[in-house]
Amino acid sequence: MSGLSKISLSFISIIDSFCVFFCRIIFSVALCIFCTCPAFAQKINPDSVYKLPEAKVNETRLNDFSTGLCIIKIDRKKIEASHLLNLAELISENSGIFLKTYGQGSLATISIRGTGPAHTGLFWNGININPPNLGLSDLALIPATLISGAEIQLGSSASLYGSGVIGGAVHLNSQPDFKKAVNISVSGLTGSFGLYEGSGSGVFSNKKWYSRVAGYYRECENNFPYSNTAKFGSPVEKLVSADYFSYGGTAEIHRLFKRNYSVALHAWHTYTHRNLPPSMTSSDNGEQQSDSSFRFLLEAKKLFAKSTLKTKVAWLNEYLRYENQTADVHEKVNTQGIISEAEFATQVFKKAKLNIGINYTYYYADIVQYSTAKTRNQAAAFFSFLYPFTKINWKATINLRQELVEGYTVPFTPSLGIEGKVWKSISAKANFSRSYRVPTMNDRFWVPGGNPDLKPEGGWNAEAGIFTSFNDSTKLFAPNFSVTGFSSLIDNWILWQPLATNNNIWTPVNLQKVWARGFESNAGLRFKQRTIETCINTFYSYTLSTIVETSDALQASIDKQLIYLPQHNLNTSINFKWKSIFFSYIQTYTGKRYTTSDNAASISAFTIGNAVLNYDLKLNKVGIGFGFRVNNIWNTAYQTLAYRPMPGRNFNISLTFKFQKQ
Amino acid sequence: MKKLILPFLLIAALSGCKPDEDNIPQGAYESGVFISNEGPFGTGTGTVSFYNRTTGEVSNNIFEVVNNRPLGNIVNSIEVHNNKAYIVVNNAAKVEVVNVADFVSTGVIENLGTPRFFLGVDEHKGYITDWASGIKVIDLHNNTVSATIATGGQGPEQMKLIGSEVFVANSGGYDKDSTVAVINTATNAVTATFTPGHNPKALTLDANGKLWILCNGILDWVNPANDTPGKLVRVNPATKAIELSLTFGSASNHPAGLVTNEAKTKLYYTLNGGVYEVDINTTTLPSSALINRSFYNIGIDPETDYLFGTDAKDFVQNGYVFRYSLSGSLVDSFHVGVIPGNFYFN
Repeated sequence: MSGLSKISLSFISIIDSFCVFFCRIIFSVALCIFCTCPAFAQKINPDSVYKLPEAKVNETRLNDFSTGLCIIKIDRKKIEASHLLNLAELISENSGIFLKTYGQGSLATISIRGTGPAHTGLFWNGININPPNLGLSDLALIPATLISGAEIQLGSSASLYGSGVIGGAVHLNSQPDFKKAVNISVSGLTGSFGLYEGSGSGVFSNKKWYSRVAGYYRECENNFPYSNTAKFGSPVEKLVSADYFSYGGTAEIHRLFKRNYSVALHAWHTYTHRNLPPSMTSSDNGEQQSDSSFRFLLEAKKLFAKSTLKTKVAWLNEYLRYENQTADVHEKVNTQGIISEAEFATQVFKKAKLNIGINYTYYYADIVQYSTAKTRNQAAAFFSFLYPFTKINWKATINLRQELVEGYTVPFTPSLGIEGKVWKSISAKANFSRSYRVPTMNDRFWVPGGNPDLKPEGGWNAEAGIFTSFNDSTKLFAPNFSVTGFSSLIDNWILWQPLATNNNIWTPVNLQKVWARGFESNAGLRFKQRTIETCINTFYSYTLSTIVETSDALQASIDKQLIYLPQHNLNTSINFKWKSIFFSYIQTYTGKRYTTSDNAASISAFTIGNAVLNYDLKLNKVGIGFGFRVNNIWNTAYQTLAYRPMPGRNFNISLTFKFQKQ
Repeated sequence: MKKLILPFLLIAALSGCKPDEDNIPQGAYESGVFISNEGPFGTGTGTVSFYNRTTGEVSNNIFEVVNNRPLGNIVNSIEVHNNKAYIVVNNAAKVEVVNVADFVSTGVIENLGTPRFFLGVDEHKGYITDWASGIKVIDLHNNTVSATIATGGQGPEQMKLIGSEVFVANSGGYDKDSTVAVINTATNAVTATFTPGHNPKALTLDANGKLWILCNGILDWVNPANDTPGKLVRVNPATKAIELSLTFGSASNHPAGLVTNEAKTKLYYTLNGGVYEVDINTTTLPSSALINRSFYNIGIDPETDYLFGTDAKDFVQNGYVFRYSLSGSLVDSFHVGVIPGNFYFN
């Protein structure tokens, strides 16, 4: 009885992380849009649908074999123009995907297409960087400054990338470009509630070398005022204990050698220290958390006439400290991963493309709540085959993957994807796949509660859609449209529940079967009038994610929407570009989210408006950029999580100096 | 204690209350059962439900309905004393005080650490167990903390007032403990400590004036060899002597939720998905359950002698209360809030 209370504070973060209860969703887009509309680049350009696959330096499984899936691209230009701080904000604004966040700068998790946060993979140059203890990442910890771009792939690609990629995946890939150039950028940003950021990046490249370094420091007092509706008279208070600071850097260096060898080394370090504010209904427990990440990746490639051999090995380290003064909890989490992969891609039957590969992954987790440090070994073999039916402008891909995970029996995961032209600029696509998620190391080893008898979650996913692509940038008037329907059945969904024999102890169980289905639609229009270029985009998604089977005792949650998962999401943006001036206004609508599994309680829908105004001055090789951003223009009081306040209208301004030489 | 309060309540009811503005009848909550619902963990609010014995009606979330604000995160327990209900909100580090008849807020006791239970000592003074500090002594006239008592143990939980002494179970809290501390209410000093068994959680008094203590035992997830079984212990409150100590059969037996019937001749507790009944004159523990159902917590309504058992379902939806007769047959059930955890039978 009542046992949990504060005892469970340490569990709470865990429970939460397992995203058990708090799933929510996303939205997204089907395919995309005009290349010139910075946010959404088109994955498949109809002209390339049936093009010969070429062995390129930057090719990835994602680009070559995700036939029939949707990908939203956020490029570096878009990132720089948005003045957003982290990956969570970038995804939220550029895709309309709803992220659940504990507040500005706080824990932010993603869930795509009605699945949970642990159902989206986070990949850094093809390496899954979700830590093995949680199986999910806090996207607020990925600074926008450091990344070259992001690709959000919607829908399952477990057949390409393995465990946990059920709802989708976020890929952070470097974009080496071997041409002679020097590109240096230094930027300062300041904003409401004591926000300061200084950042810089430099790209140095020629025909043989490409290197990029970037670094940043950021701090924020984060003491924004809000109306505390949990108190009598809803007084306006300032958020306390929410300050944070963060710094980090990345470096990558690529070298092309003679005879088509190439080597690349990537390094990443970020450190974030956050005080964790109480919710409106809680007292301040003196909680704080620091997160440190080190990531190194070494890649080597050999290009042959019609094939490519790629090998890579990565070392990942996540170190987390959590303190709760009231409960006297001091947690330390230290996880490491060594991930190695080799793959060989080749052209066969003239135009078809084949890829085979193997992966070996070793995880180590030293966590106070495990009885001892634990390890996990896993290996995988994967196979992909793409066949273009050039005469009819269609292509089909089969992906197969089998993983071996220590302690689990994981299913064989195949997928089949097709896409191609239907009529003029209208194309269609479809994908059918199997997916799964191995329980996390916390699920297995946490003390108390860890359950070694859990089965992996397993899913079947189908999607189909149509899209148009008038992406001829010379046209003055270009409409676009896409719609994708999807359906996923996920069985053995893992939730943490108290033990029947002891309420104080929570344990993960394969509790329920979830059916997530819905559609994503996108309409856009680009037109040019003299020197003014205008882009209008609207995304709407409808997601029903309901429990279809559960234990008899939980009948009240049958056919009910998962909690913290809006059914409706709408994101509309309008951009103007006139000479050196860029203006963008983005409005998002996030539907009602239920907070209890019987859908008896909910938190309100909200509409947020954000705007950006940039002015870029170019003087020969030097550029100066001035940016002004307003968040929450209409000063909406809203929450993405119950009783977690979000800031009202706030501003930031930035100044960027650029040096460019080509 | 509950009976002592009834006359006060009658007086309160007769003297009339404020005009009703929210369509809440006068004295709507003066007689019935309060259920404290912890609410969803992490970022939610707990609630209080009220069960009207006469009509069988259930009013949920009554604090927010009356006072237009939520109670706060993790409502652990509710206790009525001097016509006031004291609602302990664990993760908000506070106790909300309301008039029991209409549930209108009259104050809040703040600056607590991790409060668990409230006990009214007399008309001036109350005790609140607080895992962070021991026991907070409350001045009931101005709802402030007037002193802190270190109980000498971990995780002080339930309390029992016997004469001029308060017995406090040091339940182990975040760690483990085996002691019960005795406090002189006149001096607020710990005058005695005894050791009934591992992790004592629940206390109750029987018809003979004896104190029964239910010890949860130790559950060691990593090394079950370190597990110890629960114990049911009878103590003479005058001498603090342990008169009877019954150890549960297996080290995996961790009983909870000790309550008595109205006559205080029988004890009830939960164990491994069942409710067990034991006579106060027993010398052995029962081998079979009275009710084969898993409850989050149990209580017995002294007015009707019905056993109330709560079901928290998946802990993120509204829970249920099931009513059973003490012969073990189901009477009825009703919907309450998220994670129904404790009762007060008024």
